Amino acid sequence: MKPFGSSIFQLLEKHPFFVSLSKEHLKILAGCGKNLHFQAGTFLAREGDPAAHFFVIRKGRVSVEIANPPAGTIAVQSLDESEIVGWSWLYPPHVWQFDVCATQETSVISLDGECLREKCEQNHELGFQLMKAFSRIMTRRLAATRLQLLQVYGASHD
Amino acid sequence: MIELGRSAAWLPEVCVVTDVCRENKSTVTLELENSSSEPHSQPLAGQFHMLYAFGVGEIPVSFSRIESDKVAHTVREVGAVSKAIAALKPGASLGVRGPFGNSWSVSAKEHKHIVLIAGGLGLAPLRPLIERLWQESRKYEQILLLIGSRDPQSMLFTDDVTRWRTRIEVRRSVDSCQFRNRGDDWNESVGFVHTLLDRESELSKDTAAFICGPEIMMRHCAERLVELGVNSRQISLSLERNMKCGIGLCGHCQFGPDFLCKQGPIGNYHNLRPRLRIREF
Repeated sequence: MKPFGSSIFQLLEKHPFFVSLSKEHLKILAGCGKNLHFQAGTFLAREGDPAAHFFVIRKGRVSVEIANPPAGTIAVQSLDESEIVGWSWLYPPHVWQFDVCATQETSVISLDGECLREKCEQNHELGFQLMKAFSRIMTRRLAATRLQLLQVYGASHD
Repeated sequence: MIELGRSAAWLPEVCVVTDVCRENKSTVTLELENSSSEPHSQPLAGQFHMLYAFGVGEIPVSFSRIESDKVAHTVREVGAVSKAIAALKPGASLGVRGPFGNSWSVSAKEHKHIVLIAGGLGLAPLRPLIERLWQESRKYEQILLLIGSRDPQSMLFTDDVTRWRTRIEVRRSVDSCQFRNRGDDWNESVGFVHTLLDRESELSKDTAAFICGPEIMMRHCAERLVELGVNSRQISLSLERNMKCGIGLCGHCQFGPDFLCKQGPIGNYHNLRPRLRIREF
């Protein structure tokens, strides 16, 4: 992975996920961010590793997946442009619960979760706004996952 | 509403299966001669036939392809009748009544943006509409087709999807995806089909949406479309109940004040929404 130049602040300011954050908060976030690029097939995160970052996808697609040896790998969700990847940085034990792999060439803003946790402890308004933003995503994804588990399309054909 | 003659409504016509295509392990498309000589009985996209497997029974099956000289029905093997129909070979005979029910309604004069959402076998009843929109794609500003399926192996009409992509934006998603080697994996989306709409922050007010699939899936997709600004009167769903007579007499497919075989199977979400919340329906 390699960084490439751009204004993180401007990118975050335009992103719907951060719409409720003030400019002051966005500056703090931008100070904890950097642009990264991942080739297809490379991992953004590995299950069990410390969750020190989260990602905003600028371009490309990632797969949230879990190893299922010896059968292979199970992909549980894909995330595309504009999606947020990872909330484990925010909640103890701050460990990735799944693998995250780029399935296409993917550009992201990587935000330093350890740095942000410290900032949130110092600035509770920032912490509250981030908690609210992540709760919205978690609620939406939980509901979608429940539907996904219902097997509404019938039994497996395997 | 198409008024059928007495014989077409009650007496199955014997049709010959001209071709059989296995779509996946449990789903088969049967091509039949289109023997309808009367203009009023030409099938429309969204309508269905009652297919009779001789000596076994009769089931409603939507048209998955409509051409001047042939029609196709896509059947999943789930019960005795569908298994008997799916086992038919070219040259075999099948009893056919219909066509019955209403049809998908779309007009390029009223709608410039079209969203079609298919879940599982729900792609089959939408396929004739997709073909029409594909042919008339220049009349529309945007046509977006979202397809959800259980897993990559269950995806239907994959050759058609490749062709549709030349003129229509197609996004596909599966609920479950397991692979052994990277590179063999499914390279499209994973997640419930309505998450394919997450990329849209808003949809045009002149959007017309057409949804077909399991009822739970249709409810959630319709709600998501409403959140994105689509008028609930412009969202069409194709419902399924226990169609028997096909002409609104027997009452088996009653859904509130409607008989789905006659007033349906297609209705708009604005009218259907309250009834979709009644568990007894």
